[in-house]
This record gives sequence, structure tokens and C-alpha cells, in this order.
Amino acid sequence: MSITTLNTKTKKLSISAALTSLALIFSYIEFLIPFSFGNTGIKLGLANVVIVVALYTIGESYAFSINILRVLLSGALFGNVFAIAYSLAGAVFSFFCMLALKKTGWFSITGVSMAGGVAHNLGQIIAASLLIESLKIFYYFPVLVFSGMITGILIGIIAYFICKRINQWKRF
Amino acid sequence: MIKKADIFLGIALIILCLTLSFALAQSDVSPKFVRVSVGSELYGTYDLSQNQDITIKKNGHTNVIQILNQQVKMIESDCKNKVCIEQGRIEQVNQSIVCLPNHVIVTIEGEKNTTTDSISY
Repeated sequence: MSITTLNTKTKKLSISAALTSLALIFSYIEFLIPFSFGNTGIKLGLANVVIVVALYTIGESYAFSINILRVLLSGALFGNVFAIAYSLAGAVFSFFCMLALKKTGWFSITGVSMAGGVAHNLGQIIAASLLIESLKIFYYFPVLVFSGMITGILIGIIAYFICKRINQWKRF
Repeated sequence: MIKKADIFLGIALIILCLTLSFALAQSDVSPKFVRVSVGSELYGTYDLSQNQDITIKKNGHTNVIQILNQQVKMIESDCKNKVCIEQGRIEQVNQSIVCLPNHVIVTIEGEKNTTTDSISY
């Protein structure tokens, strides 16, 4: 293994560690000041900015591990076992949807993020229906699709500007 | 920032969303029941979709309820104040008609076997 690849690997590792803590801080900010829309269970999910940016900059495997880590850590810090189960299902499902859409190359970062937002809610509602063994909660699904789109678009726009800035002094 | 494919994806999602909500609104045909109790005793349970008149005779009192077009109303009662008759029709789950002098309670109930009492996130 040459020094340069080792160098980039170490760099990527430390960047993903920093991004994981950034995602945690975003989760904490949202825990302190909920950007929620009434009592609907809809929230912005600022930490997903980090995941989308990581997906577009340091690579999919790093983004995936950041995703899993921040879900587990923020769930342990601010939530409970059920919160972890729901958000893990949402995060993993959303990640693979975003990855698949990104690989096609047809969509911009905003579109990928929008699909990710919808997939996040879809994953969560599937997990919830499995946990409480009732399909009735799918009545809430249209609301969640719509809210997932809006939050996903917002996250995507933020991620777009961040990626643009990063590319200006791209070192990794 | 935004490509054409994104807009198509967004429109597809909105269409999916609207179709789903429409389909779900149409499929809401969970059976409802009319539960009649006198005092603390259950007198009987009746299907809300079946039009019929039910005469409730208990403890020397008589009440008649009518189930018509998914609605229930008290049409006869031998009580004095007739509050139950004046209350008119009920159709939603958990609504009820009470005839206090005769101890008759008519309640509309949703699905009989719900597995969960309540869910907290």
C-alpha cells in the first residue's frame, strides 16, 4: 500500500469521524430546538445533510458507516430502543435508495435527497407496521410521502450549496 | 441544482401520493357495530349496515332504536323527558345515545378486535 492511498484513507477516516460528530450535533440541535411542524411527527432531519454531503464527497461506504453510527449514537443519547429501530430502518432504506438513484446519474443532489426523504419515511412506516403488527398506520403514508419530499428537497438544496463550497477547495 | 429527472420523480411521487390517499379513503369500510346496554349489562350488538328497528324491553321499560343508512336514532321511549329521542341521529364511532331514566346506552363501536389499545412513540 503506497503512502498516498494510506494518506487518503486516514484522511477519509478522520473526516468521517468529524462528520459523524457533526451529524450528532445536528441531532442534538434538533432535539433542543425541534424544527417540527406541529404535532405531526414530521421533522426536518438536519443530520441528513451530513449523510448526503458525505455520500457525494468521501464515498458511499464512509457515508453508510456515518449514517449507521449517528443513528445508533443519537438514538442512545436522545431516544430509546424504539426510536433507534424506526430511524435505523428509515436511514438504511433511505441510504440505499439514494445510492441507487445517484448511481443512475439521472438525478441531481436535490432529487436524490428528495427520494431519500420519502424513502426514510417509507422505511420508518414499514418498521412501525411490523412492530405494532397493524397496517392501519399506512393511512398516514400519503402525509409522510409529501412531507418527506419537502424536507428532502430542503436538505438537498442545503447539501448542494455545501458540496459546491467543498469542491472549491477540494482536498479529499 | 435541479435536473429534469428530479421534476419527473417529484411529479411521480405526488401522483403516487394522491392515488394512495384516494385509494385509502375509498377502502375505509371497516364494519361498525351498534352496542346496546341496559345498566351495566350488555343487551345486544347489532350491525350498523343492516337497516332494522330494535325494541329494547328491559325492567318494564321499552325503547325502540332505528338503524337506517349507517345511522342510529332512538325513535320511541317510554321515559318522561325524551332527551334520547331529541338527540337525533348518531353515526360516528364512539358517539352514543343515552336514555338515563331507562338506563339504556346505545353506542357505535368500530372494529371489534383491535389488537392495540394505544400506541406511544
